[in-house]
Amino acid sequence: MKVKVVVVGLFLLVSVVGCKKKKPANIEKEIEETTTEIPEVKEEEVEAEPEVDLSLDKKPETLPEDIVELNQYVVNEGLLGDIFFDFDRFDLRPEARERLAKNAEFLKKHPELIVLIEGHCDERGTNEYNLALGDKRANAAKDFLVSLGVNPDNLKTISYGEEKPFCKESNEQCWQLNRRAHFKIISRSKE
Amino acid sequence: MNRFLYLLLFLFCSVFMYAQEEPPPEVTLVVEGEVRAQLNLVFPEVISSSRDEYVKELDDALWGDLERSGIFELLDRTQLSKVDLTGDRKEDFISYRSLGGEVLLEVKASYEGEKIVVEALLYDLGSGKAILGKRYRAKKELVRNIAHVLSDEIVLHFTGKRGVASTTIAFVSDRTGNKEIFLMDADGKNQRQITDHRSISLSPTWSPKMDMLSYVSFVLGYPAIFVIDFATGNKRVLFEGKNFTSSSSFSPNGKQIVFSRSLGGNSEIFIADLESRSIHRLTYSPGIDTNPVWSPNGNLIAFTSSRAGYPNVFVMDVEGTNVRRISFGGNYNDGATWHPSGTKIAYASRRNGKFKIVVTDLALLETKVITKWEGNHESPSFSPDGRWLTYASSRGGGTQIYVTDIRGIYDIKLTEEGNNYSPEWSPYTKK
Repeated sequence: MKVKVVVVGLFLLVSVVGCKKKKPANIEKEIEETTTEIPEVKEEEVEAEPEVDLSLDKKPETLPEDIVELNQYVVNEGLLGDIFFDFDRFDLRPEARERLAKNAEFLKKHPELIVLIEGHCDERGTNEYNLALGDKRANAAKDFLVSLGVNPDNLKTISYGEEKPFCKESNEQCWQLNRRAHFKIISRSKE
Repeated sequence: MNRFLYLLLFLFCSVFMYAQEEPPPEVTLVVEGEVRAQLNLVFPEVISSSRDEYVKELDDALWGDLERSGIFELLDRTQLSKVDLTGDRKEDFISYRSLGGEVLLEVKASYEGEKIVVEALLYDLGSGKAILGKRYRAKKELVRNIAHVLSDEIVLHFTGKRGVASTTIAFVSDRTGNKEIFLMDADGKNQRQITDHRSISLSPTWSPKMDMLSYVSFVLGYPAIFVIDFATGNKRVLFEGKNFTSSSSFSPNGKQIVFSRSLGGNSEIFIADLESRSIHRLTYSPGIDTNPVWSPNGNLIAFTSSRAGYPNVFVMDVEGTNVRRISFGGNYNDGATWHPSGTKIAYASRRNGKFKIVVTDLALLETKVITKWEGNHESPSFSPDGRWLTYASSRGGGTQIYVTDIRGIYDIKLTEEGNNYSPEWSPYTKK
């Protein structure tokens, strides 16, 4: 009789813990066995990644003070001005051609000036695609200036893609300001 | 009365015999495609004589990793605290099972000098068997790394595929005032700066062995590809010269890179040998060709081209032939990245004026929108196990990096400081 009671007790236990989840029923037996059954543990060393020394990184060069002032002057006097583009386009709008004609006039009078034409884009699209698009914009401006007689050797191009926005908000007004070719004098030859 | 007892006995014995014939299988879990099954995991607080910040860090990191792994339902610790543990393993296991627990993770931490030693045992509560044992030793500052490695081993045990907690995400951040390259752990912690050019640095991409990282920097006055060699910490410019280069991607053998280069205002795709620096050209189109990404098996290159009038994703073989378009929805498709299986490509697709992350199955050419929520989403990159996508989102002002599962249900924000862009998930290993 005593034996039977134990069996019932065990069964009830099993039905509460085991059967509900349809797990094998003989947990008690299994567990007794497992206390000694620990898998072999091999110790592993976890190491830090190598450090990168930031002090060695190249830093950009900056424009000389007189050139910075010269740029302010030509912009204020309207001698050199930027042009603007449609979304995902690099063809020149009529007003952009007019502006470029004025820029060409000024640059032909001052063949000593070396000018960097920066292509810019709005923030939409990937950084990489916009680099390519800004490049097309800068070169579209350059090609037009050259067609008007500006010495191609005096014109450098760079694309900043969407990386150097003039306006930082996310709306069409801002985006329009950022889709541009920007003109910057970078040096003046001595002769 | 007697009959009833015999019936019980019979029932008990039949269950017992069934179990004898077929030893209880260890708990396994198959995470396949879109089906998600979860195991109920009991993970009591880490056992340690000193409950200091490192032990707490271990506990937090491990809990987070296991939860994010997606394969466990972690048993609430407040519920766990209601259990009266006897110290008797047998009885305690029964108590855990009564809470619905299927697997138990027991973690102990101790110190040996400046090093922390972490010992973990995983039990199948069904059979009562210990099924996995691990012991790690590291400088105590690396305690999170131990948690990540341990979590990945546990995921490997149940799914047959290593977890991604110990992988790294490279990204671009403007938090210093300039765009620089940063790294972070897959859980968004431990964010660290790895370039300081104080110019514009962009587009990080990993080498397949994680021993190098390429990126684009304007520090020389024009966009140029740089390569960091992590063994030496050295950063070198890949090509000196006036033609700007960008968007690089390593070949799976790590010996070549595919990149885009401007030829007089027109961007074309080239392959360069890293050793000899010899290059050959793949694309010849008057439109923009950029953003090339090498496929995992090395045979194909996905890229963006405007040859169809607006940006679309194309695939070609490494000779530049057999070009085919794979993006058909949306009116601006760009920023392709391969699923590790090589069967799918994710990219940003502009739909109703907003960029969403979509995934196109290459065999079926079927496209699914993954990020359905508000804002613009760009720059997807898959985790090396293929179950997660990291991307940049501009929702709520500013741009931050998020991680979502491939079904687009979970969405976890990883960054806060400054704006953060172009996340690039590392491969599995540094070795």
